[in-house]
Amino acid sequence: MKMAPQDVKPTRSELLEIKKRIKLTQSGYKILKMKRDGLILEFFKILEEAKQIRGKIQKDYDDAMKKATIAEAVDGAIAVHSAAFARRSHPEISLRSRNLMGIVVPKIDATLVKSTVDQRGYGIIGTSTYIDEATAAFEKLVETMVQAAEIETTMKKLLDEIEKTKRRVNALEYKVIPELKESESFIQLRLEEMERENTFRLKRIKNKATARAAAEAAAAMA
Amino acid sequence: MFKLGRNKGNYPYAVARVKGKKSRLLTQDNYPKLLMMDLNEISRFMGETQYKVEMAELAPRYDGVNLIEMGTSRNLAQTYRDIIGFTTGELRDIVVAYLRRWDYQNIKTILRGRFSGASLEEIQEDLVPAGDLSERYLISLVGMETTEDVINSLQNKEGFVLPEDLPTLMEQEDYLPAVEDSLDRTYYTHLLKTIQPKRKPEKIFLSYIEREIDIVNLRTLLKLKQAGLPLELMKEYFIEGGYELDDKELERLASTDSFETLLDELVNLSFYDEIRAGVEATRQTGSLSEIMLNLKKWQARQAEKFSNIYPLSVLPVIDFIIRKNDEVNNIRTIARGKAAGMDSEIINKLLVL
Repeated sequence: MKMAPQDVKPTRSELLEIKKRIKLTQSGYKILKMKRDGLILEFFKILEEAKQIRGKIQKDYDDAMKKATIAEAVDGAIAVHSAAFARRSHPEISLRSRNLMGIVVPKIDATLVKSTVDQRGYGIIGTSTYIDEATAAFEKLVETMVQAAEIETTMKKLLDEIEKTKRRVNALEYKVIPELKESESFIQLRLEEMERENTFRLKRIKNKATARAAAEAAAAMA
Repeated sequence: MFKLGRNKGNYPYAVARVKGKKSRLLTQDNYPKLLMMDLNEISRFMGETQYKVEMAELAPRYDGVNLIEMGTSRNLAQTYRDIIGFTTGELRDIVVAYLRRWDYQNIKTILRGRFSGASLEEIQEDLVPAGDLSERYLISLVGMETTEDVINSLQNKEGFVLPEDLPTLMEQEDYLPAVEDSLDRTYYTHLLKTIQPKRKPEKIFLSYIEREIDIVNLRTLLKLKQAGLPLELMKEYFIEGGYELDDKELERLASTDSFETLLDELVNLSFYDEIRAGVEATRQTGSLSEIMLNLKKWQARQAEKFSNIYPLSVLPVIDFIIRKNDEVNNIRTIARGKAAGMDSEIINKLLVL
């Protein structure tokens, strides 16, 4: 909760408490800064992978579409649709999680994506190689997309975490630590002032007492 | 059991009708023109040819490349059914046995559709009734409640041969691939039985079909070897009755060390020169399509060779059937290629001219 320096009790114990908090905040700030830098490094590594996988998706997609187009051109869309009907098994996606610098990121595994010619649900003898090659190209594309989903989700989570950590670091650097330091100096100033007031008061009391003592002594003399 | 007709057939009449139909096929010089047209121009061009009736009929339902594909395949089906209609006797038996490939293909489509839970409309759209089974009958099969009903109906269909092991195959959980392979095998076995090589034309036709079996077996062999399947499994997929590749030779090729060794071994085939470019391309890219395209073109040339040598035989009829199929395939290849923005040179390479 935001606390104005004036709201702080200008006591020694509060000063000690604030000094302790400043120390703790500064060490937390250093750790968060290190975490942010680490996350950024990790992000750039993943970014490179994401760029590569994006390129691979585009390449696999172009290849799959080209092969499907050739299959449709040579064997006809009717034959391609008919072969597609035969495929009853669908790829299965299993989702696990792993820890990356304290962030939970997904680990995606896909099964039943790639198949050999005898596992595709249609006959081997009567199916053309164009359809076979289009099927294989699309299986490859699905596999790449699953890999991309894992990398891109990790990248998104990393970005969120970097943003969060950056906000925390900034809050500590520009808000919490300066405020604590302000409070610290406020208490110090206040305590010094109180000390000066006290000294002055004591001096005045002392002067008064001295004056009174002098007056009494003069009266006694008279 | 399939029975041959009582008479030899109406060869003069059938050949005269087929000649008439052949004259309406696109000529070689039409293809470069088609390659230069855009999709709308191709549609318009098709509307001025023998395909105009089907194109006009289907225009309200389809457009663009789908209209061209649907129109040409419907025309193909109608043409083949016409031929079945005007041939008689032994000639009709051979023609029907040859065109049964469409019936088996349609049955595969129906079984696949039912297997995957496709809608009736989707299945119906993918049927090409170019064989002996009529469109009405095929649609009735699509509408049947269970796959068993479909099989029972086909078993009771006169003249239609189903694999003997079909009931056993249907008991398997994932029966479709085995059933499809069995249907393909039955098609060729039955076709070989139907062709009686008593005269030279039938002998020529028989050797053409045996060559086709070689091509199918070679394709299967290459696919399976590339996938790394063991010999024992591969043996199940070969069709008996090839011209050059008998069981022994296929097993020998299948038992080679690797896919690369198999490609090396192909050099011993009598038609290796026809597929040499394809084999080289396969070595570099791993794709079998080039070899298959070479084989398809070679097969078309084989058919062309026998087209005029025996004018009053089954050969001119079969030659027309093959040419018509090639024409429809070529038009579709051009249209699909154009629609996908493929380069004219690549499209041209895919054509069987």
